[in-house]
Amino acid sequence: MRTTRDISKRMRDILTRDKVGIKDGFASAMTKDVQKVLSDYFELDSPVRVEVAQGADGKYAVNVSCTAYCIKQFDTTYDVKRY
Amino acid sequence: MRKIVVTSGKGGVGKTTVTASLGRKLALRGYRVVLVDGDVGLNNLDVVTAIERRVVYDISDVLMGKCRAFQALVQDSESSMRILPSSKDSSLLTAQAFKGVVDSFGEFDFVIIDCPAGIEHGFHRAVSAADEAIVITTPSLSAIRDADKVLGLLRSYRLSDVSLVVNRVRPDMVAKHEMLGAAEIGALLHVPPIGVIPEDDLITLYQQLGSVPDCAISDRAYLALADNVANNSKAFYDVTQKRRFGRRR
Ligand SMILES: Nc1ncnc2c1ncn2[C@@H]1O[C@H](COP(=O)(O)OP(=O)(O)OP(=O)(O)O)[C@@H](O)[C@H]1O
Ligand SMILES: [Mg+2]
Repeated sequence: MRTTRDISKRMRDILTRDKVGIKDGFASAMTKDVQKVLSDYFELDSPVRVEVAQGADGKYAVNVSCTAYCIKQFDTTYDVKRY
Repeated sequence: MRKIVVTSGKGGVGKTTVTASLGRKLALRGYRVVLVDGDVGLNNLDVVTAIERRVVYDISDVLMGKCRAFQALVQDSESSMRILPSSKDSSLLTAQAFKGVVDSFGEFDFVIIDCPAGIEHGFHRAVSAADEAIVITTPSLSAIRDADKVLGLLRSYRLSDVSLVVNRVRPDMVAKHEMLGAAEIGALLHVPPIGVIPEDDLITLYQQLGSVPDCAISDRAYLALADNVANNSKAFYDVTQKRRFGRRR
């Protein structure tokens, strides 16, 4: 059972990578942007990881993970850096 | 008339074999079938159906006005199915002209178009003339990957149905979980498999002689595929379960 599950996972990764264009820097650009947004709100402890996978229904599951020391304090939304 | 293109992206996965065998089974079921060889220059449908020595006119002759489309048709060696041979030269074969020829077969129940490999002009020409597509893949990852690309391209054509046939499946390897099964491949590609054709040495052997005998293990798989196509159903013959129809997962 494990073998086909591994083959299937590898195939799914290849198809997802083909579609989201990871080769063209899509992943690094997206990760950089997400990291920028999150670091406005959190004192980040680890680099942000973004995983994109396509589910059986064709939809994309996007998982963002990282750890932070603390939540940044700010008074109004104007304190947040603008892009 | 239903116009179905058999395509794949990757070469050598069995488009011509599936086109010929599906056409024959539909003809045996009593349907009027014409196969159109869309693989201009690298045509092989004539050899697979063993009509190569009886070809008088080809699609270029039809376009040049040397004959009518139905005069160029050659009857299959094994069934009532007709074949429109392809030409060596594609200069006259615009997508529009090709579609015109296909549309002239209005009195047939099925026109099945054998698409060339790749996604260039020959692909566009063949797909533009069809209303439905059958995408062929094998369980190999590179064939599945190319099938996925082709499925993406097919979305920009006005097709009423797109389905999948998985060819060259090794039931023993699928049973041992060493090869992806048709249901898994269908799930990866988000397209229902309507045919699962096992790897069959008799295809290799008898195709060289122009006809594959009924005793071939692939024969039942082709019958089930033809029934699906004829009935617009999506059940498939599951070679690993040894059941005639597997339920779609
Ligand atoms: N189920 C099968 N079992 C064993 N051999 C097969 C099977 N299907 C096809 N083949 C063999 O695979 C080879 C390629 O098949 P075929 O010519 O139909 O592919 P194709 O997709 O039309 O190729 P091309 O892209 O060059 O047009 C042939 O030699 C054929 O006999
Ligand atoms: Mg071919």
